[in-house]
Amino acid sequence: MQATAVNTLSSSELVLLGDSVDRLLADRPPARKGAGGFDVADPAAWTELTQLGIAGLLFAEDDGGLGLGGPELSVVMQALGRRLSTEPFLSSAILAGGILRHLASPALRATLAPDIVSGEKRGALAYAELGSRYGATWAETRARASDEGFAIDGEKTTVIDADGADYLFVTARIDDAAGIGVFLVPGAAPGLTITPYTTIDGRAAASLRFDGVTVSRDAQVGAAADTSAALERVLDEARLALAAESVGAIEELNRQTVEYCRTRIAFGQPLAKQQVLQHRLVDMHVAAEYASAIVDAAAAALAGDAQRRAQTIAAAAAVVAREGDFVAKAAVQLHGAIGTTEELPIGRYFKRILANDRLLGGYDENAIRYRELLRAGRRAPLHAA
Amino acid sequence: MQLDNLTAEDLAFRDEVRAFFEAKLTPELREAGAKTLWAISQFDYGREWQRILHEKGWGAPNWPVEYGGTGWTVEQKLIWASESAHYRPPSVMNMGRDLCAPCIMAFGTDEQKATLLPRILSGDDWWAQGYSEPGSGSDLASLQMSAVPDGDDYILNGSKIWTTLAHHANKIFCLVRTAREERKQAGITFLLVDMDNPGIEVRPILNLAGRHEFNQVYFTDARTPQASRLGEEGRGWAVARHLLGIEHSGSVFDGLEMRRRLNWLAEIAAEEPDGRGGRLIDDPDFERRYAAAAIECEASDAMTARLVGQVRAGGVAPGLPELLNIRRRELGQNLTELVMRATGRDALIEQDEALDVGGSPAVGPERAVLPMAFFLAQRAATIAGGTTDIHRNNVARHVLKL
Repeated sequence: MQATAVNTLSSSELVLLGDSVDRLLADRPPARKGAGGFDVADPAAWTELTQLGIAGLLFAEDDGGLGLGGPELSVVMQALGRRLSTEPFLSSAILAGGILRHLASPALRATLAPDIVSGEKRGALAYAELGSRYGATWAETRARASDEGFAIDGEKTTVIDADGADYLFVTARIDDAAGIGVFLVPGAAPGLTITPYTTIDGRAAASLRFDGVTVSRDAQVGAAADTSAALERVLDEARLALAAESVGAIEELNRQTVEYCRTRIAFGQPLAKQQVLQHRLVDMHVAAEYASAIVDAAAAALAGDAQRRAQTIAAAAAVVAREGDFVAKAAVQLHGAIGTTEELPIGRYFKRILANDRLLGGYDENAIRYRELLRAGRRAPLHAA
Repeated sequence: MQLDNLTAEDLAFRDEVRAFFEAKLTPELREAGAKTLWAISQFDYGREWQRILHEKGWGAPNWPVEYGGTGWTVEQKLIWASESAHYRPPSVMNMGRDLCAPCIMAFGTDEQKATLLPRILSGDDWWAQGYSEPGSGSDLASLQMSAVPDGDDYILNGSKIWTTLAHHANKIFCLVRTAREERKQAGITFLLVDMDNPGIEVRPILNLAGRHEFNQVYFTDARTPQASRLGEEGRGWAVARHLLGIEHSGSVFDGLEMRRRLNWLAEIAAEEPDGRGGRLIDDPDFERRYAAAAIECEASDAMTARLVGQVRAGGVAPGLPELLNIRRRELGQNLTELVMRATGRDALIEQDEALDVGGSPAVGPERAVLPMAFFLAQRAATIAGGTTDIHRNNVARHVLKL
């Protein structure tokens, strides 16, 4: 496993990094609008973003990356959240990139990482199945060993940015053994059927069907014994990323909702003069402060020991999901009827926050995860008082 | 919260703090500390503890060094708060040290500073807060208690309410009306009154936990010298605001108390039977609630870390502590409620005397003595120092600018 986060940015540099991503997206010409009024991902935008270096954020400098960590990931995702980006940062740089960072051999990483970092190529991670719910390592997809390598059969669901990806990392049970393998599969492999769709928050995703997709023996990434810890690590980075993205969306919702309440006149005065609405807005800001603070803590914990990292990120994902749900619903409510339409961005932020919650787990799923981690910690306490 | 990256000096300081607690906390003081929570105090032990702190030179860590403060760094204050949360000395709400003294420093004459501050630090003077009146709670500026000049004195008439621990105090700082003007904030004066003066009477008000913490103080033609005025006549509202700013911001480190209550919940649940042959802590439904509370404590810790970071960087964002207090107070209440509910039926037993240090032995299990009293006393946490609803008004106005 690769060491990460050798570099850190100062707090003013962090602000600059977030601003540069934000500015880049804000200054681009209006993107083509897709379902629900979301921007359709634009390869030119992704190229410009990768020129900032963000696809290599978590990669070591030897792999062409920046060697940065959680706090930097967090500010970038917050900016992407504020702008409701649909670019393949999560899918390629975090999820597929995470497999390269935490499971792949140095040789494979050296081969694939530079093109991910430059944006030349895109990867995707296919692990979720109909039966896996929010577990990282439940796979009914099978990889059967043969003389030439492996034949993969099974189905994956809601694989973000799978269509058009240069390659996929696919989780599968090897024969009937207990361990889960991760396999490198070309994006256009014979026997692979990709059914593309968009998710409710405008992201490109797809269901995948594998009918005897054959890969060579060396297509297996890392040892099966290591996949569980590596997948959890990769998903922790993704959970942190989505929590941070939701914080960006929450803060933007609060900004727009306060603005709306200041200008919308009802009963002869602005909505913002109604005490009951003032208190709602204050509670939305309290929610945003807590969501943002716990994401900071989770970002800092990314570099820490595994138990503390997992626990803090689970708590952060749970809290952000709950606060996000509250803020998103309240923002729609305070906007009144117009908030329930596609006319304003409000509903799109609502959907992004909801989609992040459903994609990797919301309050309940992360509270369960936190509880299991607490139980494990109770058996073997890692921290003295 | 985690204390990372401590320097050798910080670690040495932590050892000194630990040694101090180990040496000074007698079994009696520990019992008093265990039986202390906001609005449940052990006054005599609390004052003794203030004297012990003063002897060590640690009587007022937040004061400037020139008045007897410790000059601690942020890290040292954090270590102190963290170790205090662990050792639980019987600290008592100290209105003189934490609220009145900063106002004396900001608005007082040299003589007031020289005579009053040392006696606050040593615990020789104990101050009550004369702010609320029966008709003026959150709407403080509507206060009516009058002070009429008479020679070198003011003559005081009216009453102050919710004067915490006034029955132990020998001093009271009061907001009084010296003039009636169109703006209710005008004509208010801040006085530093000696409670031994004739015409001052203290009557108890028992809180929901049956404890005598609150009082009503009556002033009937009581006198105080005009020299006991802090700041100018009619300009007391500026002093009042200064004090409220301190009171509303609370301590950056208050969140550490949340983690302690969570640990208490785990301890109680490890002992409580589940009624089916097991222990409550292994009950799946309890475990779910416990994990949810632990997640809230993670959020509270994260917020403490954010505040500490801001203090290190030069100052806390204006309005942020007040905004956070809204939820922190609610979390504090929720945690004490979880502890009370975990305690089950035995929490119902009325046993006020077992709450006193060296008081009568507990009826039923020892662990059942405190939770109900703490839960009941905590109902005031979202009211005292301004209700959480008033805090929402303030944040709406001053932070969101609505």
